[in-house]
Amino acid sequence: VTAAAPGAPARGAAGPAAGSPPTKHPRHLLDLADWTTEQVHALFDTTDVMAQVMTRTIKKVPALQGFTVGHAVLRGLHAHPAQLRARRARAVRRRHLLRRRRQQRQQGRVAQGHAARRSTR
Amino acid sequence: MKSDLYVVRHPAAGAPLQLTRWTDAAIVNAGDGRRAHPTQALLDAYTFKTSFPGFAGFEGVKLAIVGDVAHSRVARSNVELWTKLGAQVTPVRPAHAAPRRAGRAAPASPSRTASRRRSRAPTRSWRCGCSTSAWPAACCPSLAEYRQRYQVTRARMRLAHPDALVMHPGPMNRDVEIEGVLADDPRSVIERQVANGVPVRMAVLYTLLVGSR
Repeated sequence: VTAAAPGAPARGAAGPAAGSPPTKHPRHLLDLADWTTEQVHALFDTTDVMAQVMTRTIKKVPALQGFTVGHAVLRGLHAHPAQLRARRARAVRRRHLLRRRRQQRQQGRVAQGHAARRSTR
Repeated sequence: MKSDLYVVRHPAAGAPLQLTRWTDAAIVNAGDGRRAHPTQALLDAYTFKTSFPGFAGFEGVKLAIVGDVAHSRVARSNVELWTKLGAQVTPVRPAHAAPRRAGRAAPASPSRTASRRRSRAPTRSWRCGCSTSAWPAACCPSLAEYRQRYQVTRARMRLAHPDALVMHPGPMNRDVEIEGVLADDPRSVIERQVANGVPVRMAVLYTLLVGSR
């Protein structure tokens, strides 16, 4: 966990996006489904300002002073070789299933029982 | 020490959502399992937007996502964001790598093979982007087969709009999912994507920390 540099809390100070139109601010960023199009466009406007900040000699946003940000990167994110193998095997199985189904369709056969249930997946 | 915001990357889908129940801090999902990677999608769209001077909007834009769409959180988030912004998204992937549940978000019917891919390649669109997803090897029984049928090459880019861009979320396997020469082509905006990652994430922090109070 890394902490931002502690500074005088300047919360509420005028920030880069102070002039942007008021939109309802999202609480989290979990999933883009939760964000409205307006919120995304407002974020792009803020990004323009931040990109401008990145061209300055002192790359700082005073409005963010005093906030603490924790980074939690939990390990094991990359797929284990066994998972990759299983995924590849699943791809082969699914391809066979699709081919079998196509052949059966061409022969005019209708799947029944377990096969029928599987084909609805 | 009380954090105001957590950036979380976790192998299990839904872990950031669970965290919102445990803490009052704002949560930024930096990738959970195969489910979502929103900041990557945001920076992809931002890179596309800023690549064209006088950009008019995402309506009429066609995006093809090539690769293992089913197992890629980047692809899933991109489908979600670009369709929301009004673009048309086509996943180009092996039949068995179809996004089964996430696919509902995509209005375009997915193309299946390389031959159909040609017919469905975003040809006459106003502008389009082309993005490949990482981990291509896992969706195909063999790497050679993937390369033959799904590698994004200069020849295949001729089917796209002349202004089409090539994007890649990285890490890039040159000459596997993308032709090495194409990655260094002026149409490729991969380096700009990396550079834009910083301001986009700064904007996310700013929006969630300052904007919400």
